[in-house]
Amino acid sequence: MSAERRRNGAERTVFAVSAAILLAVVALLVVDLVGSDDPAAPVATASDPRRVEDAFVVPVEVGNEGDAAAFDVEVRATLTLDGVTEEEGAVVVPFLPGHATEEVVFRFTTDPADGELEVEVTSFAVP
Amino acid sequence: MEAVAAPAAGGWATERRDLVRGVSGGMLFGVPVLFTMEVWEIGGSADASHALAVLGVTAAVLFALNRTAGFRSTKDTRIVDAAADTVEAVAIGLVSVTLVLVVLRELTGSTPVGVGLGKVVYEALPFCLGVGLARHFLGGSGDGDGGREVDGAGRLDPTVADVGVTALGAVIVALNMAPTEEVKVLVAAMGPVWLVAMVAMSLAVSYGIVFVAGFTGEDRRRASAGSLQQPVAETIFCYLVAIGVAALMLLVFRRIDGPWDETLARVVVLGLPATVGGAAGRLAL
Repeated sequence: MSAERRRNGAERTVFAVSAAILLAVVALLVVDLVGSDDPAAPVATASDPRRVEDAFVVPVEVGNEGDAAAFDVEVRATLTLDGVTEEEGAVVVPFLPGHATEEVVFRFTTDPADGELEVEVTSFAVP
Repeated sequence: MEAVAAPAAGGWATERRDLVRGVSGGMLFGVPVLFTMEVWEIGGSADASHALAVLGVTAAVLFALNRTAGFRSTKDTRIVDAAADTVEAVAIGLVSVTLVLVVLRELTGSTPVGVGLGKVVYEALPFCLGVGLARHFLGGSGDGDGGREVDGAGRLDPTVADVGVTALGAVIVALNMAPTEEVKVLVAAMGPVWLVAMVAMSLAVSYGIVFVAGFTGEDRRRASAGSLQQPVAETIFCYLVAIGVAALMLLVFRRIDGPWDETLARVVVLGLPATVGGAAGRLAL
């Protein structure tokens, strides 16, 4: 049978640091638990178009302003000229946690500055 | 100011060995889950109550493991020791998993705190089980190998044997991950600096598992003859073998289809689990 173990200084130090880490994680989780619990709210914000060779690319930041995660977030971009849809495209962000952001890029052959560009989140799934 | 007596050097040496053993056990058990996208998503989308419950389950299982196995060379016979080691084992898991996820770029400066905590806590569950089983994984204290033959007749050349078992261990672990999307997804988020960090982490983990953790086989590894059997040289050489296996696995599953830098990055990323498998293989030799 093993003899009773007496903790030395090194073990006591490691234990103190470990306990502090564990307490900090639990405290952060408790703060998160008692905080807001808003449903997922993905939004899309387009940046200025920039020319890349023969095309125009538009970076779009997709952010989730809610606390809950969103899955399969579909972002659709539509470019209209004189009220007629000139180009459109869609991209799906598979997973967007609460308060997280992802960047997607749309590519057009027509300069978006010549028309009206609409970028919006059209659908998403909730867990 | 309060004066604090410095702990004895032997105490720190033993503690360092125990901690490295815990991290090594965690890597052996937890590395496949660290490379699983679904766990990142499940952890990232979990609410705080679920994460707290998982943390509680982790601690409860670890407490039971510490009563029978644990990561220390001494067995916890008292409940208070098992409880203290449980706190330390959970902390080892949380810190180790955080470091790996940072290098894998699954945790960045822009990751929301709640999301990061969820990922770390869920990934820490299997990792901590490895910490709790560390002493039982590959034997125990590294106090010798019970008279196993080291230089007996008919034994393979040590370097050849190392290549064989490293490759075998690397295949066993990397085979499960090479065909998955995770390697490609991880590479997409990692720049050159993080790939270099990945190489450094792979080498450190390999060295820790084989030469510091005190698993069975460590003494035999240190006593092994041959030009590449010195610990640092062996670690580097076997890392090259492991990433060679990683490249082969990617080739077999037709995951090498891009420019050379993309290919190199995939090899380096898959190299971490391959190196862990290779290190385990060398200890099992």
